[in-house]
Amino acid sequence: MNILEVDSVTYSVMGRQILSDVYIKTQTGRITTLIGRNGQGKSSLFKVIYGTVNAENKSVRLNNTYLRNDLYKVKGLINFLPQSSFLPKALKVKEAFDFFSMETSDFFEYFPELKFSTADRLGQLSGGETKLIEAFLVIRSNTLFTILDEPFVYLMPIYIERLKEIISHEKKNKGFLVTDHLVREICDISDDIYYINTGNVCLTNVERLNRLGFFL
Amino acid sequence: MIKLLFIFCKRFILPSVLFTIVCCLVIWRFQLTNTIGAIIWMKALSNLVFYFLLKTYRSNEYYFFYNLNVNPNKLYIYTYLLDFLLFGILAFLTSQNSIAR
Repeated sequence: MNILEVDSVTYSVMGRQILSDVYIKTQTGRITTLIGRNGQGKSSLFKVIYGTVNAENKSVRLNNTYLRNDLYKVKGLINFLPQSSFLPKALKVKEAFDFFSMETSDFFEYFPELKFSTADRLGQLSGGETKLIEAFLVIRSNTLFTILDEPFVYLMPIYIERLKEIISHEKKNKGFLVTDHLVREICDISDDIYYINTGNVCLTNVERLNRLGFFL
Repeated sequence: MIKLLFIFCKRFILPSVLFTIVCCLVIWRFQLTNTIGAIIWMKALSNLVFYFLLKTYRSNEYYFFYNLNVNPNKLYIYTYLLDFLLFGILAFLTSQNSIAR
């Protein structure tokens, strides 16, 4: 089992404090969810953890060993699904799967209704289809941890359900850090829930989120 | 890595090659020794402009490279060097055939 802990994260943009002394933890077999309103720093925190945004201060430990490198540079450690589409549009579907060392047949087993060809370019697909491919590639990749920043955006409910199944299945092999505004959907599969507000993060639960008005 | 570099290059190869052709036309017309300083600066600055435009408008695609453990800034440096090498060769060849000689 692997444990990833991030603490003392302090991050500000043009004098505005976005994150202040944040601690978050995830581990193999657990889906850790970060819930918060727009503009509270969820995506920023994930980017800081991943290493693509520089924070004023952060400390990352993997199994109690401090990591000095940005996490994305460590092969097989972590991958990241950003909010917006990240695969180059000129890439063919088959090529995208090849880059992530995966078979397109696995994808079509989960989503048999999708009728596009593996020779199609990603630019020819709809936003939802592209998002589904991206989420599938990131979730199924062979890494110890996966960060998902709004994995359900653009997706129809039946695909959200299947994606939830895939995430729940994959947590046997890895730890997840997830955020999404579909709070009910994401809380369904979460093991730990953190709440972020004005740059501070604390552990919470579904009842507290309900009181805060996240389930309307 | 070469495949990734090719995918990365593709995104600004067209404007960059077009700019190289314009530079070569200037060299062909006015001779290399008269224009070399200004042209090198223009070429270097144009590449920086392409870099910042990409970073501003298509930065999300950077996550494709991050997810494959490759820093896109590293790919940019390789692309920049390759582009400058191509530019240097073409500029030299053009200067040999300049009409201002």
